[in-house]
Amino acid sequence: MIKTSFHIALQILKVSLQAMLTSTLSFISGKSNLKKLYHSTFGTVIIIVMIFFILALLSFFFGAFMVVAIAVGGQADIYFFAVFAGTVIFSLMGSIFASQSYLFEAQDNELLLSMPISPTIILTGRAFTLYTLNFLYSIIVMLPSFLAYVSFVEISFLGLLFYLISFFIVPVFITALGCIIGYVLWKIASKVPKKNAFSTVFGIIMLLGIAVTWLLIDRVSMTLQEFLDLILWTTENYLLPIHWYAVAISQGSIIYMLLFVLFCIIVLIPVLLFISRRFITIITTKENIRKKPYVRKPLRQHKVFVALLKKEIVYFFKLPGYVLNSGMGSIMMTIMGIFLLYKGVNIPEDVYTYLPNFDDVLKISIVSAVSLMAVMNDVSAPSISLEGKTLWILQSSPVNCMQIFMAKVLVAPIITLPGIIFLTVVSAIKFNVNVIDLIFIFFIPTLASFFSGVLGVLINLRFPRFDWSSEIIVIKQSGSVLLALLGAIFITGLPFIFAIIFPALLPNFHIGISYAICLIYLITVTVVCCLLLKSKGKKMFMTLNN
Amino acid sequence: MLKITHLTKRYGEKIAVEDLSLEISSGTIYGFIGHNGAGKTTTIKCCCGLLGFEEGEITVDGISIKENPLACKERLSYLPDNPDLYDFMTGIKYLNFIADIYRMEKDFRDEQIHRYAKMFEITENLGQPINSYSHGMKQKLALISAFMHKPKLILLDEPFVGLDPKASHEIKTEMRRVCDEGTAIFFSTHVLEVAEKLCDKIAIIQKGKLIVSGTTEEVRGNTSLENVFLELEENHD
Repeated sequence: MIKTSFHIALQILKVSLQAMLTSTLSFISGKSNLKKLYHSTFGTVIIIVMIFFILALLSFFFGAFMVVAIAVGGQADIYFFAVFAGTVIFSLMGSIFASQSYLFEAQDNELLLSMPISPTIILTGRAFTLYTLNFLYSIIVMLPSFLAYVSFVEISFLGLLFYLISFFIVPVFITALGCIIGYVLWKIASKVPKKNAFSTVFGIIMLLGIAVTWLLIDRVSMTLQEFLDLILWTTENYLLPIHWYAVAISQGSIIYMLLFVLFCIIVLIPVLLFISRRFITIITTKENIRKKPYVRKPLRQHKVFVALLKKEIVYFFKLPGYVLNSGMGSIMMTIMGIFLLYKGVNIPEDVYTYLPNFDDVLKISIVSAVSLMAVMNDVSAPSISLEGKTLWILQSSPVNCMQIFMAKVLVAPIITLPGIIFLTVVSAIKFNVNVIDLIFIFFIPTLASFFSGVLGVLINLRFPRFDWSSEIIVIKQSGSVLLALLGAIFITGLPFIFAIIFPALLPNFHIGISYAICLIYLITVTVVCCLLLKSKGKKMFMTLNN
Repeated sequence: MLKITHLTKRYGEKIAVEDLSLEISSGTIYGFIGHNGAGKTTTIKCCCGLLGFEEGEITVDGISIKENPLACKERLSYLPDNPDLYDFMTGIKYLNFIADIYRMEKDFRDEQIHRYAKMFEITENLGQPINSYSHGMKQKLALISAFMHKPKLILLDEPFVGLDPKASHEIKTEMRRVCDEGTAIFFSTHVLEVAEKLCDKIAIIQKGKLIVSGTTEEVRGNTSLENVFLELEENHD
């Protein structure tokens, strides 16, 4: 009986992993057929490896910085506390919506429940999948952090062994945490009438909460040592399992390692049992939609383009994952603006000695920073893929393809505009800028945002994905989103390198020339992409899904 | 209204539709019957511009679908089998969106939407999001979106799937009514009894080739459409 149940759970895991693998490998090509994937697998694998490498490199450098600051001074257990916290936060940020999606919103849940398979086994299979995802996220943080540590500090054999074991144990804890959060979110969302709005607001509050916490910590004046002592005291008294983990590795303690392993396993088992008892209710509970009686009201007529644009904007705000991932630029602009208003900028007087043109360098840096944040709103990059099975509506409609594309393109600058306006106002308050500067601080990022919209649609037309079961797969895991984001950052960032270097190196260099370089460049690339869209886009659009 | 001339459509090596010619006049209900994978959906998709084709010509109201697809699409509406709609919209917002796309006047759209909603008994659900609709309700909503802007040609792929008997009856009555006003309807179905009773003309397709076409009486002969269809299937095998 146990053998059969375990076998079924493994089958569910196998199917989920196959789906995940196909989904990941096809994220560039948009091809879900495994045979066709062979042709694009090499390129796709290269890109996946590159992404992991870049993230791992960032983890390594951050880890190395922390090792030098903390662990070298003999406070290795605080370092491992930080690694643990960083791993948990990074994994949860990556998988928080996946927890809800894999556990409760998988499309085959009802099919599996109709078979002679207990909910516990189904949930266990799903939890295995979530564990695998958390394991991959954890490796990105834990492995480079470990390499950073051993580059500067000696580690005992037991410490090394326990750290390797923790690669497999920490994701168990994260999975349990993800299940709890997923259940709590489901529970709250099932009570509120607008589930998606709740999830969006929750995500934004979480991100702003991290930023506000950082600002509050910054406000408390304490030395680094006092701060580290505070962390140590907190973990020893209130976060014992993390204390066990940190001590087990830093001191090679068998007892603490056993305690930590037991803790992680003991947390997961009751969580799974608790959720499995409610699994059928969770799966079969429909969204809490208050059935309002229909009241006939006069219908509003819109022009075709306005109707298309309105549809895109409404869709954007209906998906929490879409807002939180593709609206990251706006969130960052808000946080940056609040930070600047609260903290201000202290410019040392002697900087003008080395950089007489510092004011001009600062102005163009502001423009570049706002522009780069603006292009992080890659709203249009998944927009074609998100049409999914409803693509037939637009394809069979008497609508010019360019109108469809422009509606998708314009969502990016529309969403980004409030952030740009906010930072323009903050710049006016906090920096020594005149009206002309403010016009460029507003206009260049807006143009950059429009460009990223055009690029996103172009790339998504070339690399669409329609084989998704959840929108979050397209928004977070599709190649076109990654390519469009990296492409927009690189292409937009290029002129700013010269625009910043020239006033820095040439004292008589006029800021107007920097603005002109950026403007002309952005206009040119935007026009080129628009022309490409006009000439090739229609054919690409009409042959989608054929 | 719809003229298909020597249509050939290939998917790589496979020929989905081969040398198919059909003409559907205004005011005609034309049934399109065939086994699974015969080429019905491919043909219909070619007619509404969703699929390109290698050979042949398709004209809607004398306008080539290849040369002027937008002008053709203004004159027709299309409904796929199991249509997926914008789940994030309410029923009324979806219909209003379609009305905007087809540039329907305000009063006309209001009248048409609510008339059809009353006919299909989904008026009280119009304010609900589409993701809360049952399959049948979605099908009704999709049918409303296809009929409401009074197109000259309506292309339907399995329109009766998921409809309750009353809704089926209503849509059949409405199909006849709009055809009497001059609209042409070209639809595929597996329900041969419906085709027999409703259609003015019928075409049977088998493995991409048109086997027989003509008025319902000509195709049926002295027997039933089902017998004709099964006999054709046997002969071909």
